[in-house]
Amino acid sequence: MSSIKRITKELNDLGRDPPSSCSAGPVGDDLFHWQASIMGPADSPYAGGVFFLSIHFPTDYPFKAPKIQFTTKIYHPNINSNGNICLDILKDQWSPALTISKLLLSICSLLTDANPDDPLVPEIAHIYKTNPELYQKNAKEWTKKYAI
Amino acid sequence: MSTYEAQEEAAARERASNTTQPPQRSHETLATMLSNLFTGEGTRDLPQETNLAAQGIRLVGSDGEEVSQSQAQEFARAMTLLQELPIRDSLLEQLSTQKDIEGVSQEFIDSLERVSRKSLKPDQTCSICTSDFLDDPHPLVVKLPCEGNHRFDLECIAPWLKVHSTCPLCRKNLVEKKKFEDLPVDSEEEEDDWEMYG
Repeated sequence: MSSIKRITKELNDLGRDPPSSCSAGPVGDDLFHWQASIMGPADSPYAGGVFFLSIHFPTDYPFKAPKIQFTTKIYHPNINSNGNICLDILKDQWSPALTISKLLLSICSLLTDANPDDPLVPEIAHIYKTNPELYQKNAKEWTKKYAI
Repeated sequence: MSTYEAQEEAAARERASNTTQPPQRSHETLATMLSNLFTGEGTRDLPQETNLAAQGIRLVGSDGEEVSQSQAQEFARAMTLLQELPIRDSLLEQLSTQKDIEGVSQEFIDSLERVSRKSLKPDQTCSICTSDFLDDPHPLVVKLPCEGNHRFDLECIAPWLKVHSTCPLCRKNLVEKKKFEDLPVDSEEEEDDWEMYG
């Protein structure tokens, strides 16, 4: 099965049955480079923000995970200043049964429930654990500044 | 990839900042790490409370000879170090899933049970290509020996199983069964014995 076929299929499925609060599609003519957007979940300090991500598919997709990065700055224990996301299913827990739609939904739930015990940004994780009010405040500020 | 790994390493170093070890590459195996330890590379400050004789421990080498105190100490220090490594868990996990990284044999793939076209329903899809099995007029579908007997197009599951021995849907490691299959039995017997090992 070719990666192009699978990526095309995902694109069609996304068009036919778009997930709520997410969208994704190719940038220009390159089917292997997509842009996605996620609406900040209502029950999170990211509410009201729209966060953009870049997606790069490897040539052997779906046998290797796509590379997904935030291009919008976000204040989160598992997302660093380069937009890299610390999420197991993007690394060793990748499965070819996962799709971009499922990944984006997982990223949405990571926004609602961070994982401070496996942080990519230890300072934010520390604040998340010790001073939740400050974390909420900072995350809201960043959302307002970069994502609205 | 490289930037992401670099980030990961940085994060791991961050966590390990209370130890004096140099950065560990995440893909370093236990074997190379131990060998580095023994050859003196990556020598670190180690706790010295590893006098085995004092603890009444005697180590015997593979030749049956008792190993020297210094060798034993070296080993014990390596073990102590391993215990303290922040990446210990991932190393152990890697060891226990070593076969997972290697994937399964071609024989294993060839011996996967086929699913007849008649038993396929219109809404059933291969979760790798995300297409309905019956879209293909001549589907070649197999089921994995996992609890859910998850089904995939053979064409789709084969490349995955060559490098991973897990079911993409339930992550069940299929390798335990493979071990028995590696025994030299003819294919008739193999089918019959399958239940026994299940």
